[in-house]
Amino acid sequence: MRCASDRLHALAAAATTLLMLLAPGTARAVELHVVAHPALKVSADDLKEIYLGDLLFAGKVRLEPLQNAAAQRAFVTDVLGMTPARFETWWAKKSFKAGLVAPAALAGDRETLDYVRRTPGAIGYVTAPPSGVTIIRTITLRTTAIGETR
Amino acid sequence: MLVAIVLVVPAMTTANAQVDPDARVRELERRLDESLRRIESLVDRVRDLESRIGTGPRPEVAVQAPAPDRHPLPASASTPIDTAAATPLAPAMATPTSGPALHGFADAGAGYAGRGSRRGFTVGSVDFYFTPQFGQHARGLVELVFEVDEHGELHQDLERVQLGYTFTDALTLWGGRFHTPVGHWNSAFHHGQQLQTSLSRPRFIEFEDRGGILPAHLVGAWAEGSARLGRGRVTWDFFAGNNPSIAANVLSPNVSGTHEPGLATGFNLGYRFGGTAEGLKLGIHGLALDVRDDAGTPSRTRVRMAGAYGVLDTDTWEVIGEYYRFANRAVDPVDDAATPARSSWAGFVQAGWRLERYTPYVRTEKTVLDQGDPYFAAQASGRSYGRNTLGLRFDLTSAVALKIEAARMRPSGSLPAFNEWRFQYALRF
Repeated sequence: MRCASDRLHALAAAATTLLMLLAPGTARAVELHVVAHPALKVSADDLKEIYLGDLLFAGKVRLEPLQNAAAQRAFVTDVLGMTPARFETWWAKKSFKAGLVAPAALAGDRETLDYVRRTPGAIGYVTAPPSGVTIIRTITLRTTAIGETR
Repeated sequence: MLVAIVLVVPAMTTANAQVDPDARVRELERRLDESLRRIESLVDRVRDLESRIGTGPRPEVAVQAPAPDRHPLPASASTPIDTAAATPLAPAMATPTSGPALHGFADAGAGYAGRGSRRGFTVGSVDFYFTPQFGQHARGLVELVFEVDEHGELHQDLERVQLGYTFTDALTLWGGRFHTPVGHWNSAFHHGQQLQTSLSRPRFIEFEDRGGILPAHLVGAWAEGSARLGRGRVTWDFFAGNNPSIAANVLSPNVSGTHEPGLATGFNLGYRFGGTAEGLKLGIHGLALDVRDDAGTPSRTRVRMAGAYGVLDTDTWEVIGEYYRFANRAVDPVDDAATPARSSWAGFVQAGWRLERYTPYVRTEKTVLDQGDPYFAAQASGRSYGRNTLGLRFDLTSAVALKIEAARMRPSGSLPAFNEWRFQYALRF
């Protein structure tokens, strides 16, 4: 009985591997778009300073960086070049020392885009191609999630 | 495994059952068109309902920022998002979290510091602070601390009350009571026990009533800012406030002024490197005080401190070094004549090696304080000493740390050296 079960598992594993190799899109590139309100003038070089609270203004407009909870880890790691823990500690220190507030988080792409569109100093990031905002930077991420919708 | 079987078996079955692939595709297209029509119908229906109930703002759907590592990247949609046109049910007035969130620190532990000292379990402090934002330019920082002193008595302290206005990135003006921005440690960690790697502070930059020889707090005005320079940022602080005085052998920051407060002034200029040297900051600092004390023979001292500091803060290393050089002059209270300057110094270096959740660290600190200088002579903690510290920090989570520390204290003169050990459980919230 146990032997048959092992064979079944082995067969399933082989089938899974085959599917991963053959099926297009099981490990595909995902893009992350950093977006800003259309009237905001900031460059990709400013992003890290904005998200670390060093750059508070663009001209006379107060910047309002946003976190997108659905892609926060990818953004912090790939765009800011920090570990999530280090980013969290950075803001704990920054808030304690300078009285600033860490970038607020919205639940996902739609909420982020909605807020960025209607807030003059807002900057956010989304994983789907956006419209109605300025794209500051687009970077390609890699994900190994299986079964993504193409 | 079961998932794979579920995926594989129906696929094989379906493949066998297919007689005419084109017919199957046509059937799927028909079903898709039907689904789209139903969706469009529902969209129209929702719009109609929305127009009937009015267009007032919807409830906020703000979420608290989650820990990033708990949210892997989701599958990406491949179609453009247009909330206005395609998703009428999406929350049109989503707003991020805002408001004066309350944060703080707390710690408890155990300790022993030489013969004759108190030993056993201790309650450390509970620190609450919040950072209200008032529009684009104004903000505040209020911090309240409850702590138990060495005699077991509870004290509360309005640690910081800062009201600030940010003109640009290069200039924020603060007024109120603030942490004296000299060196790095005092303003970076202060009561944030969980933030600092080590359990203890270098003794000479302790709080005024715990052995510090410098004013850890000032009441007055403070201008700070930063600007990009090269690949890094230059940072600066200039501040002025009430002079501290010495009362009962302890520095007092004179939070409500004195009869002759005078003006303490100081600066801190630094450069935070970018690029390959990111994490490194170097700076210089200075402090000018006019301190009166109530010793048997009241005296007055012009304190002049200048020094430098450096910080390396990376994923792997934390190294902090601070140096303070004093050239103090006693001043005759009658004719204002000053004596020649007396020189003293103090400094420490601490290095921590971050190994995932463990951080072993070492620190050496030393002060050489001239006892002919009334500023140091009048302070209970104004004696020279040396101390070497060895410790280990373990991060239970990113907000909770356990620390154990051993130190060898060597007071100057004929006082015997002694050992210290401490244990601490520190958290932030």
